[in-house]
Amino acid sequence: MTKINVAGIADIANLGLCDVALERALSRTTSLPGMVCFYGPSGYGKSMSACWVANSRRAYYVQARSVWTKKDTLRAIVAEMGVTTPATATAAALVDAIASELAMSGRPLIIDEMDHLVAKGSVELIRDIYEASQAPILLIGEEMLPTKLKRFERFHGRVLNWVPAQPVSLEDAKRLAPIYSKVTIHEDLLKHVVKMANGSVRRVAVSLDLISETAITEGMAAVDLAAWGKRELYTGDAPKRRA
Amino acid sequence: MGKLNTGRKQVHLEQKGGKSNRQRVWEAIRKNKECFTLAQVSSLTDVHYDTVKTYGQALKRAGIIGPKSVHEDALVRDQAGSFSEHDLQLIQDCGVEAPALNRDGTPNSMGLGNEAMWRTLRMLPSVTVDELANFASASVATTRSTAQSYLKWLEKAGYVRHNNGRPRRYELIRARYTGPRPPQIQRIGQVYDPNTAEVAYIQAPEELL
Repeated sequence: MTKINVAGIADIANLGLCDVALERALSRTTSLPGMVCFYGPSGYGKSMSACWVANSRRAYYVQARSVWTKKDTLRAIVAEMGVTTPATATAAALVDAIASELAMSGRPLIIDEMDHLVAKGSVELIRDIYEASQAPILLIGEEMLPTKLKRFERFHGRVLNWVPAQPVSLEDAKRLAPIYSKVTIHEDLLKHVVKMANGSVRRVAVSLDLISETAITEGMAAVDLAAWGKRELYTGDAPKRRA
Repeated sequence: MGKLNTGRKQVHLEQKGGKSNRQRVWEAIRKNKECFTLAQVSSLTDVHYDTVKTYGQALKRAGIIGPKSVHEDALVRDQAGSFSEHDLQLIQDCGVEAPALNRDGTPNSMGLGNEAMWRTLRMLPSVTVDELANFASASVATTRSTAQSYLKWLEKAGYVRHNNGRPRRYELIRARYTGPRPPQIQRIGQVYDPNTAEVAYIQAPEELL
């Protein structure tokens, strides 16, 4: 796997997972299926991971929308590839154009918000593209995506890897701390931050930023759990009513 | 041809319909993949023969095009010592995008940084300058000042906006996403959008003072 060691982006666990999953699909033997499904709740860092992977492999990236019909989906992918097709092209012609471009360029395709395509019944469309190109396709969706895809047996069988995004860990938080905070945050407070974040990388980042700002305002160079005390952290919940 | 050889034209002058010379050459090659000569390609595309030849040699060295007959070289000197043309064919079709190559046929990474920054802006809801530089560096090494400058020009051209947080966060204005190809910043103070084939921003003359 590529070593992810860039200052400013923490090498959080999910980034590596996403990268390895796509790498496996790219380097698989021809007898193996080539679609990869990366799923998990929002805020787990899926988009960040996908962005890094897309840049490192020049992937084609489309983000599905809830209103997309099958034709809209195909048109969006075609546009992303820079392939010009006649306005009258049929769905079948578009699938062919996409598949041949994927196969020739050797670049992977990433489809974000795959749940929308499932809801719109466009799952078989993606399978058609895969069958015709055998190109690696990374599907990104919410926690329930694998369950939703189970109904489509033929699709399900073409997935090489089901990769659940992992909740944020203390290790992740330690790597995030120097990026989001200008002050030293002790491990006990980091643990607390991770616990309150409920798995979300985004919440950890916001909390670290909040701690850093507060500490600077109050003139602290380092903060631990005791110093932070009962101050609130970012949990994403609406504020509680005060008595 | 009697033309002065003054190097490359500025991108908004070279590109026709958002396509560079090389892109048009590549498309002509794909259209005639079974058999073509560089001279034919030149006349089909209205691209100068020398330009076609340079790119043709790069493609040949990369093994993407080759002579129709295995025994002959594509370009051989005749008795007079000048190059005469042989029929060529496309060996490896790499898709719609003209392969970016150096003269020696090795891959060229020019423009990949901009492409990665443009992709990052689209994929993430908002980014700081540092985040943009770091995410783009997944593709090719991109410095903070490169990211800063790219954002500055994109903002002038109305593609991105920023909030007043510390550090500032920039976001792509979704309605201004014109396509997958990154807008190019020209040294003369223009932003050229290859997706729409239009100059999206021209610096006012007083800004140059």
